[in-house]
Amino acid sequence: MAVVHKYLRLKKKFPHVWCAGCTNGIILHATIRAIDKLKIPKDDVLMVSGIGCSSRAPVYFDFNTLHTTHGRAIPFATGAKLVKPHLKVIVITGDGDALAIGGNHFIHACVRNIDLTVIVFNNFNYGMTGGQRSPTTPPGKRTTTSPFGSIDPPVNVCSLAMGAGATFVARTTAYHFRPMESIIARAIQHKGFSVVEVRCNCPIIYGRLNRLGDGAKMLLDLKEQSMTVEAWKKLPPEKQKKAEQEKIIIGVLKEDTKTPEYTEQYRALCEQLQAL
Amino acid sequence: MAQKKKVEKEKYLWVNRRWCKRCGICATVCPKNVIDYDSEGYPVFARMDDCIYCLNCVLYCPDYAIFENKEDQEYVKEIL
Repeated sequence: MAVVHKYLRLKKKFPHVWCAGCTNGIILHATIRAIDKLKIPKDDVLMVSGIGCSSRAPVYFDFNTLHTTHGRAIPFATGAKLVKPHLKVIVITGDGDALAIGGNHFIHACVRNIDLTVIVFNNFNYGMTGGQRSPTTPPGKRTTTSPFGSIDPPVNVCSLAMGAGATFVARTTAYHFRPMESIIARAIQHKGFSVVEVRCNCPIIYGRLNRLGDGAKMLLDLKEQSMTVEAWKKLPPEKQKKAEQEKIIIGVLKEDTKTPEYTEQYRALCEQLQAL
Repeated sequence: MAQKKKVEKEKYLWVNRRWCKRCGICATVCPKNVIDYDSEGYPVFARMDDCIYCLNCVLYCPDYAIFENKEDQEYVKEIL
């Protein structure tokens, strides 16, 4: 039995709801392997999700799970973390869930630097509700609400998180399984707010509207489009900007261990006030 | 120096057809081109002699439908 099967709720409805060729399952597999590698007991993990394709994930896994309202996964997770600081809280969210509807919550959680791990599944559209344009849709790409091509500039998840003050920011793609596994393990271990953006595909709606091929082809395309952060740093400055727009830069983009963590500060304040 | 005994793991992979969605990702990520499709489109491990047991197919299967142990076959059938 592979590692992942030990953590599945096998008696729940399997096969899962995701379409054929969707890579959400691969990202979940990497998350599970990271948790297994760190040897965290099942009872010490809390998976929180909002609404969306990716947010269906906690239903299938045998941890403490919480399936909440659209965009409000991070507020629920913040509350859980403050009450039970020993839990490893992992928030699983999509691009529309985290950046459009829960955009403000995302920014404020970054500012607070609370010890959560947020995994953003970025598939460039709202898959579950029928392929509407999301904040990360690249310009010129078709969705059901932008049938002639989107003209809005996209949101860069990692730049947003870094600007708002998240202390661990990384980006991977669904193709890079082993790097993804180690990056998620580092993100879980990190004390502070960590954001992992995972580029994945949506072959059924977004892929079909933009003629990008089936799931397997879109997965291989992710490999060709990506570039490691080490290779990117070696480029001359004028090429760096061009590469940033054309390529997916993968790797750990920011790691800061000096900023104080919110839960600890909160506990210290409580103790200080109780001593009075 | 004592010689290390090399214990070769028995290569065995099987597909749970009730979970498989026939997306073709397992055949795409296989480095040795072991996997073929049958007439219904399900993956078949046709050239197991070439298999290097990297388990890429197990890792990349988005439906967790590929199993690497023979013993699980009975267990999984039981719970389904």
